[in-house]
Amino acid sequence: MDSTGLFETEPVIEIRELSRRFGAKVALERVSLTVPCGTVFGLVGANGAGKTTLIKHVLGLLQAASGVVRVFGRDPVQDPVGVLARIGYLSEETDLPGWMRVDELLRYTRAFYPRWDDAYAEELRQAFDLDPAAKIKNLSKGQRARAGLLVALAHRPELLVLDEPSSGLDPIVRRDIVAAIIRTIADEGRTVLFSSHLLEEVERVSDRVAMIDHGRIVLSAELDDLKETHRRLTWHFEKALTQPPRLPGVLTWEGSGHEWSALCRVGLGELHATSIPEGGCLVEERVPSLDEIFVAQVGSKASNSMEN
Amino acid sequence: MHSPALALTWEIWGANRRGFLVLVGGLAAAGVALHVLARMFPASEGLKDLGFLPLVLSMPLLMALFNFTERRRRQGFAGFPARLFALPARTRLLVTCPMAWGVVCIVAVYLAWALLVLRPLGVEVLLLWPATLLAAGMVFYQTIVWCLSGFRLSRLIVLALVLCSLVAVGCVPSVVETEYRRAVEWYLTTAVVLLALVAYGAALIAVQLQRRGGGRGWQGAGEVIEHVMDLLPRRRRPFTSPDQALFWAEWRRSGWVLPGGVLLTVFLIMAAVTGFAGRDPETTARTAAWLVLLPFVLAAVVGKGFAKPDFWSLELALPPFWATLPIRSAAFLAAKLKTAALSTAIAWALLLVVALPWLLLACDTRDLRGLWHTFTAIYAPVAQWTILSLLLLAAMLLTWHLMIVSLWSGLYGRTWFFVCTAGVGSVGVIVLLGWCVLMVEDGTASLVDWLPWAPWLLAGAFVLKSWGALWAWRQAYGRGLVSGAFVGVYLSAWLGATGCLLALAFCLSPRIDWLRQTLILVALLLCPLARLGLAAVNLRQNRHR
Repeated sequence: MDSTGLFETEPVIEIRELSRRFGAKVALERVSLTVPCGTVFGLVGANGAGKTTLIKHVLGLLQAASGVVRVFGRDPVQDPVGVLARIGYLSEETDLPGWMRVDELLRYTRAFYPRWDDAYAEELRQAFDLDPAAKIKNLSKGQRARAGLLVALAHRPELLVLDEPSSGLDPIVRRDIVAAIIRTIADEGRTVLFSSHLLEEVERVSDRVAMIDHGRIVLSAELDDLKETHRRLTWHFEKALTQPPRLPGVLTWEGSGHEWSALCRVGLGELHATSIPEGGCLVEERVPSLDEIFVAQVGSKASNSMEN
Repeated sequence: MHSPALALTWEIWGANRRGFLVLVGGLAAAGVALHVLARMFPASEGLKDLGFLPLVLSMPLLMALFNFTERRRRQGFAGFPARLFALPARTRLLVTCPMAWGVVCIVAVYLAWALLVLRPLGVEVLLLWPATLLAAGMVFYQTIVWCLSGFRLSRLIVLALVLCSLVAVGCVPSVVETEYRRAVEWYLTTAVVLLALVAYGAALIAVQLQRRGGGRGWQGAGEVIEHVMDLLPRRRRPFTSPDQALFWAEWRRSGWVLPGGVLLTVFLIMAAVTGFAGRDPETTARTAAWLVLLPFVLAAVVGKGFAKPDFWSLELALPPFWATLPIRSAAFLAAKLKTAALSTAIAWALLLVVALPWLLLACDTRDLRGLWHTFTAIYAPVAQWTILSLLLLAAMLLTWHLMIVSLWSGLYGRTWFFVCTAGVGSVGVIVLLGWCVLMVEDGTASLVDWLPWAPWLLAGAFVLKSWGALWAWRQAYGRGLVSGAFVGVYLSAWLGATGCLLALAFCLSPRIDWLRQTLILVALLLCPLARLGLAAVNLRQNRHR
């Protein structure tokens, strides 16, 4: 159950203390995550942070070495049929069988999903401008992504899982993907889990965000809460500083000389309660972008680990 | 590393170092084993023949090591590594480096084996002529692999034709009279070297064209083939069940390969026999024997590809598209089993429809008729047709067995496991073959001493198989990988097929006890049981890693 108490229904995805290693490399370490029903959940992290590994656990493509993964209250490894029938999945690679034609792909995929909606599939095919006689291997990367999105959406899944869906795609295909997310959540009770390092996209559509770094969840919160609890503050100092001042709650400092900018986890009120940099005059206070928060969070972890 | 040639050499070594180590280690172990056996059986002629086997087996491995291609993900085939085109190196260097190393290695392996193993075994072996042929073979192989990169099936056929022709040319000096042999060898060596140079030039031009984004001629040819394929009837009806859809996909990918291979090879054999070998009784009998063996040999080869989740892919991991379909793992397995069964049935039907009339109508079948008369003299008329029908069924079962026997290791999804099981299996077959040769050479008495042990050994194998089957199917059923219906259907099919084989064993040898017992036990072992249960368990490991 979500800590805020906003979502009273059973979570669609529940992960507890999930760990996974690939040889010596720790891919996930004690990850706990809850995705409530009806939310758009954005999973953000750098390349190799563990996003795809986490998603593969959700799909049952990887078996939990330790910890628990439940999707719709079921174990995706023990009950792949029950879980996967309710999931639509699109990966970055869109590894659709290249030898099939678009119409064959639709007929083929339709056989596995009892809730396949032919009219919706045709509507999407036309919207995506996919030639039914074209072979998948002859489609451009963007067209293949659209074909993958089509088969992921046409059975009206309860959970849509998108793993870096926009990576390397042009803005028009990215727009289609975002529209698909919006379309999915327009149906009541649908949930979307998507990973991306294009944080503007995540910011546009997500209700809730988890940041993952080196296999650990460094932050998981409502997007609104996240913005509420972070501020970008800029100070002008009379005397040029070679080092930024030490302040509690500051994640990162940027700047040099007279002007320094800090990304703080707390608002100005809390900062006032502690201390204001000596000789500094606050010139700007604004809500940071998700991109800035991500860089600050991951960057601060990296610098902390380097210091340690 | 300042030299591009050195960098390319390092790349060939780095990408295949395990393969090179296996090659060198395997040849060294085989060489030592042959020397030890030569001391134990100094007069053995069979040992001299066996001495060629490791060398022959090392050749495909060497060719695989110098394949020097990379998969182009979008186009779905392996061609000359396109990333090298962006390097500031001449095309001549890019082509020559892997080709030169391939030639050097294959010649070095041959010379080392000939000088260190074959000659000490007392085999009179030539050096220059076979080495030239092998070097040319490597050049032809790489040229075909690079030039026809967009044509997966055509490339295989052309490769098979060229390499078979090279073997045939290699045999020419041995069939001419001794006084002309040296001259023939000299002419042939010159011709083969010239052809290899032409092939090298063709490889240079093809890779150069690819580097310039060309090869449009080939693309055009590919489009023509695609248009022709489009004319073939395509399925336009929806699938009524996931099983039907999976079977369709499996058949489209791999089902036609065995029947197609059988048909093509039958035509090649017919053409070769009609054009070159003549149709005398002895040739007819040999041709008939090869034709009967053909589905088994091809099924053993095709079965290795069929064991993988995708026949045409080098990857053994189940692709996410298939792994995320909402079906039980056993559904994949069932589709493979059905496809293998249909492939086998069509392959044998084609063989009977095409080759049998040709043998009976166009060849001299005196030897074959003699064999038939012996057969009719031993068995009563009813038994004759029963045995023939059951033999055909047994042949089909054996072909099917060869098609699916590696599923348990291929579906596991780990290349090392697949390669190791294939390697251990091959070594086992070689050891058994060698042992049989040595036993036969040692005299009939020695073989007869061993024969009463055969039923015991087979009985032990059957007990092991039964325990293995029980364990594997319990695992598969207990974990919900296979349904009760699947287990029931397969066990019924197994019992039916094994029953037919047992009937054949009784019909063939009703009187000789040890032979009947051996045949009965072989019948019990022929249909796969344990390995299919294991295949379901292993596929789960592949799907949920």
